[in-house]
Amino acid sequence: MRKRICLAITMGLVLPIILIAPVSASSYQPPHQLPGPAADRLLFKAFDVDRAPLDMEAGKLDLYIFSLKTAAAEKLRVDPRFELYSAPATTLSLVLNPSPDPNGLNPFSLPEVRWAMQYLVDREFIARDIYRGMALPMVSHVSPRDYDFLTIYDMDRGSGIVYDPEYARDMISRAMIDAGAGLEEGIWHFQGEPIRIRFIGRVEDERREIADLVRSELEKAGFMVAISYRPFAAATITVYATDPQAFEWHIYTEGWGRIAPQRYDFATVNQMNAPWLGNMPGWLEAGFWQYTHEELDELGKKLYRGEFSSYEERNRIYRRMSELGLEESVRIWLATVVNSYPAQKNVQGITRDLVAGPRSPLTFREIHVSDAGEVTIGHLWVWTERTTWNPVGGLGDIYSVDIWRQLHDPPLWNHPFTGIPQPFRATFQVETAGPDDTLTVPADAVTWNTDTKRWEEVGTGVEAISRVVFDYTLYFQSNWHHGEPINMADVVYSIAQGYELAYDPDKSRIEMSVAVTSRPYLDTFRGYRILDENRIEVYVDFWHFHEDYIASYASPAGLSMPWEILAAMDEVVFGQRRAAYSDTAATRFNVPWLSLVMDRDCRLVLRTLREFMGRDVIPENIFQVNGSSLVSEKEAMERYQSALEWFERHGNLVISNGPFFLSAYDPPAQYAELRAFREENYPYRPGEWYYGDPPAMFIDAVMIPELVPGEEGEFSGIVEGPGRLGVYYLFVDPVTDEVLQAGETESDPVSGRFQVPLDGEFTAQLFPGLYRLYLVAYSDEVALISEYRAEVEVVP
Amino acid sequence: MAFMEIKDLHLYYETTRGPLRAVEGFSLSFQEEGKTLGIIGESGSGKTSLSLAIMRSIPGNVSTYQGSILFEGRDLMRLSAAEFRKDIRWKKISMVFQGAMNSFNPVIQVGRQVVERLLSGDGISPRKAGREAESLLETVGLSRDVAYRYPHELSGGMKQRAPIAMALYLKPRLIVLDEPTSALDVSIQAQIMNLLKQLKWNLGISMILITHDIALASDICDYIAVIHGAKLMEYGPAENILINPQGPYTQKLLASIPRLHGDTRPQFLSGAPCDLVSPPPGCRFQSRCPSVFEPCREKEPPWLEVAPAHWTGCWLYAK
Amino acid sequence: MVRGITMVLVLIAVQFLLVISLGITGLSDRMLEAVIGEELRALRPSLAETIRDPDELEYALRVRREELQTSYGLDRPWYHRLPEMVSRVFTLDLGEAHTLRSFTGSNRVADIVLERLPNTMLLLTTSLIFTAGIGIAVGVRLASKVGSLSDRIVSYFSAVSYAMPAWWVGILFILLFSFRFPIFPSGGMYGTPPPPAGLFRFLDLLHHAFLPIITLVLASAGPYIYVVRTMTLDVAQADHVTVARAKGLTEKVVSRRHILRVAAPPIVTGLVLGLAGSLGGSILVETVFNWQGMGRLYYEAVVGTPDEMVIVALTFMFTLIYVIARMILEVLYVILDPRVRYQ
Repeated sequence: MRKRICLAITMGLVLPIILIAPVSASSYQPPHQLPGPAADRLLFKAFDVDRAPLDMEAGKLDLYIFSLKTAAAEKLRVDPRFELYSAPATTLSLVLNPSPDPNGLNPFSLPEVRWAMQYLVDREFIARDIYRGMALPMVSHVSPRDYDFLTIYDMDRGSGIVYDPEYARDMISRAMIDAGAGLEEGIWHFQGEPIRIRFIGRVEDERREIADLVRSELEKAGFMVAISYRPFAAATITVYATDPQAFEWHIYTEGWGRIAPQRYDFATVNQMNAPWLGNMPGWLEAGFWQYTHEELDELGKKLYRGEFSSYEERNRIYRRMSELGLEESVRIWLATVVNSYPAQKNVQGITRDLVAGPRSPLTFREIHVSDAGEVTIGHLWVWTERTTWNPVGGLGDIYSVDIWRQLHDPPLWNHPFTGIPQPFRATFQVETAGPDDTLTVPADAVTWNTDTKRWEEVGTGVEAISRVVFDYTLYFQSNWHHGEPINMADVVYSIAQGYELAYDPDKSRIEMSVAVTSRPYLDTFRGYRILDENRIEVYVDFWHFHEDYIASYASPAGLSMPWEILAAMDEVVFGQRRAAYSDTAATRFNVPWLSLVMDRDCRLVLRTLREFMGRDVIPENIFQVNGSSLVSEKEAMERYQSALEWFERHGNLVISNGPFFLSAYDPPAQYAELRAFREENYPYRPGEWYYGDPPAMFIDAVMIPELVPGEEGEFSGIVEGPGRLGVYYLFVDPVTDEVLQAGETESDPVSGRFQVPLDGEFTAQLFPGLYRLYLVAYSDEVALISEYRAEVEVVP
Repeated sequence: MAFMEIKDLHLYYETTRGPLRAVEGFSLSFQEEGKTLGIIGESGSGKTSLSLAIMRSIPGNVSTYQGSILFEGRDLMRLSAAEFRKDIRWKKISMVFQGAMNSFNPVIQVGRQVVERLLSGDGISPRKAGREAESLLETVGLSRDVAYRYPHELSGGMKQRAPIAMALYLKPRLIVLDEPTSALDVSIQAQIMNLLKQLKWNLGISMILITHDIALASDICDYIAVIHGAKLMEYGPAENILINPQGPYTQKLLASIPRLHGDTRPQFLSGAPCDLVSPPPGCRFQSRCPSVFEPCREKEPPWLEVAPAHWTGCWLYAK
Repeated sequence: MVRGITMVLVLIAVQFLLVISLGITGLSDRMLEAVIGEELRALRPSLAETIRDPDELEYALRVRREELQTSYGLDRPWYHRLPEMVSRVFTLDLGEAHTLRSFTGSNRVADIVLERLPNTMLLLTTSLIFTAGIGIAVGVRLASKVGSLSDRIVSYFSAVSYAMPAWWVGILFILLFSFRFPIFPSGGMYGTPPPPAGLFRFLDLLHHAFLPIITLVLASAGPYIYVVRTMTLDVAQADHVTVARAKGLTEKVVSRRHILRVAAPPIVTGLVLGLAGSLGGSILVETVFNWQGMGRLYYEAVVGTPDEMVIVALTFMFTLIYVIARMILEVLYVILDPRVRYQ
């Protein structure tokens, strides 16, 4: 057998950036072993995105966590003084207007034309040239960096979709002629009129060039294209606020931000394909023509509600939806654009989170620059007019969140490489009876009754699908930033506050958006039980085949702020009506949008705390659970006092429990300063949360023999990487693009060797020639895949 | 010693075609103080430039400015600008400009401008200055409150008198007046001329009166100089010049004045004055002179005394 | 008197036009709807994490949409909404911004403006004063020396200065004096870390203001010099100037009293209007240097999230400033130029 030399085409040109030579965690040297973060101070400062590269060269900042523009990123990528970190940011698509034209012919109302569009766009060009390699081509709504890529791998790679304008034009031709159009002087005419396509292209970024690219293809295919370059507002109005049948647009360049991709996605696939979510042409606006697809809606809702009983079933639904979406081709997917974040070469401690890049809180607690105890972080802004710090209805923009994340420790956090929730500062134990069965909720479990304002036992006869026990030992062993202990009272207050916001009639009228969005969620909780001073048990109606997701859903409290701050804020917002949690309530009642970094708002809260102190007030009944009180009057007074003292020292009321605390916040100077919280009992020390770079994974030493029809054959190779590895393969007919065989195999845990036998029955159907073979390596320890493409020769 | 002696005064302007010779070798002796010298010529003959040259108020585009002006024992051309300004300007020699309407700054009161020189320099009190301005204006026949008016509030005749008051302010020995009555109607003309005569008789001021109006010159001037093509053609006592002109140009000039009585019709000179950028060699009048002959075209005519204190530059009188 | 009424009419007319352009065209409504739409679109996936019932999800989004619409005022048609805002500003109540906030968190437009105005004034008004000073001093000198070498040199410089956009000069200066020679900061109003309130903070602010001011002066001094020169040139050629010189007045006096004083009205007009205009800030320069001033405020209000109250309030404010400037000019003109006084 002759070994064929095959090309290894690693996915895109970007993986080399992401999968850099493995830096194992052990080679990272934390600078010290004091409790808390690696750096002593983090300085956040605003730098304009165009100047940031220059400022970085001048040494004015160490890490920039706003994405550089393509040209600047490219320049820094090759500069040895800097390191470029990336994270997938935006996905790009073309949305086609599929509505039928009662007075003419809309080419995109023909499914064949839409399908042809898939072949008319040159995705490689977009990724390689327009985005200079900082983008990954996409064929379906799933990008190669999405967790579900493997789920639909064969559909994507086996779709046969490549840039083939001739083939596309052919298909278009046949469809147009069938529909009654004719080609005159190279332009499609219908009933004597030339067919005009209105192209809305966004102008603010590279989408403009994409629009030009696609437009020229459309023109070559015989369409008259009227292109309109519009900025955000104008484009949005035209596309999303008009009836598709008004034909103010036929095709539009969309861009989607990736907020928090799910390991087991159920929202995005619906959003991009199923009409019921209101994101397909028609937009579910009254009076507009609507794109409909019954099967997609049915499957979509099922997937969304979690109405499946196993991982396999879920995948089946997901695959079918993706398949339909691809067939319908109402959205033509182009690429996933990658954000680029530069850092000085000497910055250490950065974890390359697959979703957030270097912006994960895991990075900031480990980041440091050689010996200096200070790290300067640059962002586009530190403060904007919409930046409001309150944990209930604020902290909505990235400028506040990117700082806030370093100030508090969440109970759970997603693993940077697999995306699966894992315990962070809380540990958990899940027990579930789902999907079909239920557990009994103990009679002495409680929920908060907003009418009686008490914790009331649920009594007998209450059932729940799952039960999760959360252990907060790592929290309670240490204190809040202001020195007061973290204890169960904080958890309990937080839960009660949630119920109050959702169900109390007055409060929910005042803070409507908060209420409406949290009610459906709280409806699924059945009861809580405090097991001991560290543990609480939660009963919830939720099931997922992956238990960690049940824990993530059921986490009752974020434990981000001490209860006295929450209580004082509640009093200011609902009692005194002098501030609001959300922006809409602030506007409606003409009060400030409560922000704990603003002097004036803090003073409102402080005054309330003083009143509490003066009148010996503790929030009524919240701390009375099962007959005992969690907070004594003395403790409460001490806590109020500590909060007051904190403000005196630092000028803000952002008191939390994370590795850093907020020591300065200066909006006009666009500056924020975070100082290390070094308390003896803080559970983490530098190095503990460092993940560094995701482990590399690749397929090697692939041996593919020539195949003879009718005879057995086998191909094999070695896969290297972390954890349990598997290899998925596709055998594709190059002519028909049909996937002839697909399957999986595991590799030998020691040698990494895998082999795939092909039996005679299968090879008998092959003809002499070249066939395509796709190999994909995957691991349970990292959510990336590694692709390997090869050609197989079949000889007679 | 003559009151003022001008020797070989030249003033050329810079133009794109070359230097424009506005004043060419002007020499003249103003003998007695208290007399009026009239300078007569057509438009474009260089009269105004001459006045500016004497005042050293030349504009910025001058290329050649030389000669000597002897006055009070000093050559005014040799003095530095600062010295001239301190000693001579307005103190000894002042001027009433052509187009006197515009002699004044439109946004400052008339009275302030009349006594401006002293106000800014020697620090007399504003009230005293005001009284001085009032009395000066009275001298020229204006009412005292004119001092507090603005230029645009004055009528034409008033506007003509005020600059004269301004020129008188420091009691100069010589006033140069450039066309003081050219834009006025006849009655006002007469008033101004009377005023000037009064000043001459009462204050004994010497004047150089530049005009194209011969009748005017005959009214007040003691001496007359005739200019043509930037050169002096004839000079002498007024009576001699007017009654018995020797030079052909002067004769032609006088012949062009209409007579009230008699049948003679005014004669006119054909042609135009010669080009001052590139004047022809020889006499400047050659192209229009009825008596032109050979030497006129070749060399400049000599300056000859054809009668006592009566000079002409013409080849006809050369021996 | 008549002028006064005219000016008030101008105020009203501008607001009227604003209401028309925002309201009748539907522009404001559509832009706000677009903003709401985008917010909902971004909200959907994050809500989907906790709301697993599709109907509940839709309900929650619907409620949020209505809330946002009420909050933006879209529950009332533009012909109620906008005129109400306009009548508010005419009582000098500038209202509340919807999304914009001041540094202290206040959403009252008056607070936001009071915060931003000094920033803008520090940059623009200061540079205008310098520009005017240089312009007048140099321009008048040049008018007396028309055609001389210095006149020609400065005229060339003026043309270059006029052609150079201020923002480009700014970027150039940043590259030169901030990166190449690290003398000045590259942007922002304060350094890292910023000094606490007091003298040092103010000095830090001045340090950061230096480059922008120089940029603005450089970019506008040239044309200003040229304009002053041209305005005074006319006057400098006038007869009364020759007379003044002949009178033996010093060049300084001539220049001041007979040239400048007479050319004053148009120069002063330009200066006063320029001062009034400087309060509006410069969007481009403020952007290049990362200053939060009035120019950026207006820009953010119009382009960022359309904030109708701020747009109405700022438009009114700028118009009012202009009107007041015109009135001041009326008075100044009469003082400066007696020729325009009425009998």
